[in-house]
Amino acid sequence: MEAQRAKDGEQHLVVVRLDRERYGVPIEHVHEIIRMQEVTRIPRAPAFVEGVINLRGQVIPVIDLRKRFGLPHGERNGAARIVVVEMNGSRVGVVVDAVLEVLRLPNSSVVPPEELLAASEVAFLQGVAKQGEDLILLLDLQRVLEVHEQRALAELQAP
Amino acid sequence: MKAAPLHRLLPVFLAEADEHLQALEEGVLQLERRGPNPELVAGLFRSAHTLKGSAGALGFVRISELTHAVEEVLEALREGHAADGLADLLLECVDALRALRQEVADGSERTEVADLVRRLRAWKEGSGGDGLLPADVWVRLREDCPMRAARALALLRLLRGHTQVEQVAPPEDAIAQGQLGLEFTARVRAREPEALQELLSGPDVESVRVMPASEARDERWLDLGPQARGKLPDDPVLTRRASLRTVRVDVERLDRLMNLVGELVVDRIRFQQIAERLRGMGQANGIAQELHEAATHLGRVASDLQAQVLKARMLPIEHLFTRFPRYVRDLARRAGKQVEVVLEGQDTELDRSVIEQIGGPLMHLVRNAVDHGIEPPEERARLGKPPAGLLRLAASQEEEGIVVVVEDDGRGIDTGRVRQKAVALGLVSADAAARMSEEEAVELIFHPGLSTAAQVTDVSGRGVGMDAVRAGVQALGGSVEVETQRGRGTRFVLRLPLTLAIVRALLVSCGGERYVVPLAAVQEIVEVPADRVHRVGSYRTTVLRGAVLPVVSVHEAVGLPVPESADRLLCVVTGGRRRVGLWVDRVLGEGEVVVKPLASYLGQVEGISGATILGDGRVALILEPQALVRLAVREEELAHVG
Repeated sequence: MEAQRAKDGEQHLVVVRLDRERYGVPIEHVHEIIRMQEVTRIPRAPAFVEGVINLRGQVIPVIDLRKRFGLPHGERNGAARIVVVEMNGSRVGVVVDAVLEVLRLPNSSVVPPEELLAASEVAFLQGVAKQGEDLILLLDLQRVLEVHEQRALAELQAP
Repeated sequence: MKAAPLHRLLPVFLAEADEHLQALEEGVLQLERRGPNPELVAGLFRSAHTLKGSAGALGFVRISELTHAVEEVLEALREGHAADGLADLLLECVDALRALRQEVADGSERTEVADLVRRLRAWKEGSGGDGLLPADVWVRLREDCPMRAARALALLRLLRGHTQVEQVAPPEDAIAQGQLGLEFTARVRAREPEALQELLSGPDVESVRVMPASEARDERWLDLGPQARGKLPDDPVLTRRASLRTVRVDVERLDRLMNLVGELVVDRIRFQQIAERLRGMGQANGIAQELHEAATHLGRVASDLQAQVLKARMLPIEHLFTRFPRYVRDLARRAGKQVEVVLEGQDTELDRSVIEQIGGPLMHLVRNAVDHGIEPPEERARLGKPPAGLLRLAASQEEEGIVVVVEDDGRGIDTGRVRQKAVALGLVSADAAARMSEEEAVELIFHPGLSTAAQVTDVSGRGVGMDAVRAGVQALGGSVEVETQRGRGTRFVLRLPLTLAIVRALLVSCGGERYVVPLAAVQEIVEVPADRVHRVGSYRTTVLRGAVLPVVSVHEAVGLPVPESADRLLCVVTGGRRRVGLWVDRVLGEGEVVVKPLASYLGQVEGISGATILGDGRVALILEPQALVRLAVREEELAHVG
């Protein structure tokens, strides 16, 4: 995949809005985008896990990206969507404020996040792309859904 | 990096290997009990041969080397008697092949086979029961040989001294009567047929020819009757053709199919609601009715579809039962006992998820029966019982589920000793123990305190871990009952659901969320005034018909605020031997739900065994009564400490 990208010299992204920022999700990880729906809470789950939903008969977890990033709780309106991503064989829904567009960006426009952002924000990002005046923060899904986060979650539930 | 074809062939190979190994194991056990017969040995040979072939094709050298050596031994076995130890040796080979099969699945072969191959060869050299190879010996005497008949008989005597002579032509009495030309032939079985050439050569003998009877042997492989003939190892095409009517399907695919069927049900409900709304609008009543009918039809199709998918997930219990003859054999041998295993109802079908999970409890019951139930042969003889104990595993289908019986004809459970032990361990008072009925006393073996006390094993006739057996079966939504008779034996009856994919359940609501409680665990539903629920810390109890009942608040268990006023609605559920009252807001109804795993991403969530999708498409969590009982026990301990 990396080789493919390097060859094409560009990245294919789904751009979403969260709070006031624009984030890019690599399209190859996006399984589908669905409307916001009622979520069933899971007891003793960490705050950023909103619960589970029914995706055509499959029960999948949904995480709240605002909570994950420590952003203030925002009012959800009709634009809110669940981006269903597939990582390491499991499907997880990610709640965003809105889905904006699908975009191809040349690799040359991407810089490491450290160059533009403070260290605390860098943890979940792969890079930052400039699109004219705007910045698109490229999500590192692996980190967002991090495995040791899952372990912490399991420990949290253990007696 | 694996080549793509191997990658695709491997699952097929693994599945086939499982079948052949199972067949080999069963065959060897029969061989041990009944001795070799051509059909049995041919069956073993076929399994070994096919396994060797496919392992060879995929480059699994060790599997193919070992199966080759097994094949050679089987070939030598064809006519001889199985020596003691061959069954053991072959079972060791099966174990090694199983290990290799697993290793191949995980990457590459690691188990050493050289030693086993050497031992197989050694067995063959020393060859088996008698270690003799069949051969035809043809002798031609010189024309000038004096007293041909005497000479021929002398040669036959010599042959007898070194081989087993099975047949002579012309027959010996004919020779004695002088009816002999220059030649005679003998069918013999010899340790070293090649050496006969030299043995028989002498001044009066013109020539000797020794022919191994192998050609004849190969023909006999073929002559196994019409059934076997089409299935010879060299004819994979024929074997394949027979199995074309069945396909292997990944269980995950069936699960996905099941998910989609569930969605159909949800859609149907939506259509029905739309029909209701249309009707409510007062217009287009005809169309509303049509929509309603179409939705009803859709519902029927969906539930038929669901039944078919469930059926596709079923496997005969044979998959589990076939393990036991070998398992019992090893156990019995170690314990110095003789045990005959009888399997019944092997074609009884149940969901593979159930089969996977009752293996443990069944093993436990079987082990206890062999270790503690069935007496050693001498003791049985003294009691006038046959020396070999009987262990019966029987499965049958009943209306709602299946019944598995594990029964032995051993010494039975000594309820007197069980009572004593329970009193000694302080589990019950001497008074209560004395008042108990026989049935209640037998039930004590399921008490966690009793069945974990190691020293109780031998005296009670039942071993450790019976509480684990019961808990395991209950976790599946089943039950265990026991009947026993001193000196006559013990019988465990396991009632199990046909499937874990669908469960009868109670739908309850709590703090605005809906939860599912498996009905098998629910004993009753009672309403208790709030002031009758007492509380120490987070540990609550009430008194129900004179007995203390711990109360678990579902609100608290799922992290919701606990309501203060109002009466407590309690679902009394059992987990193991404990009961707790599950405090809920409302009971909404009862029905069948399709069980789905909670997303693996979330890991194990304590107190939740899975999820289901309700008629409106929303997800509801399935509460796990056993875990909630454990939670209550923990809180009880905390309350007592604090």
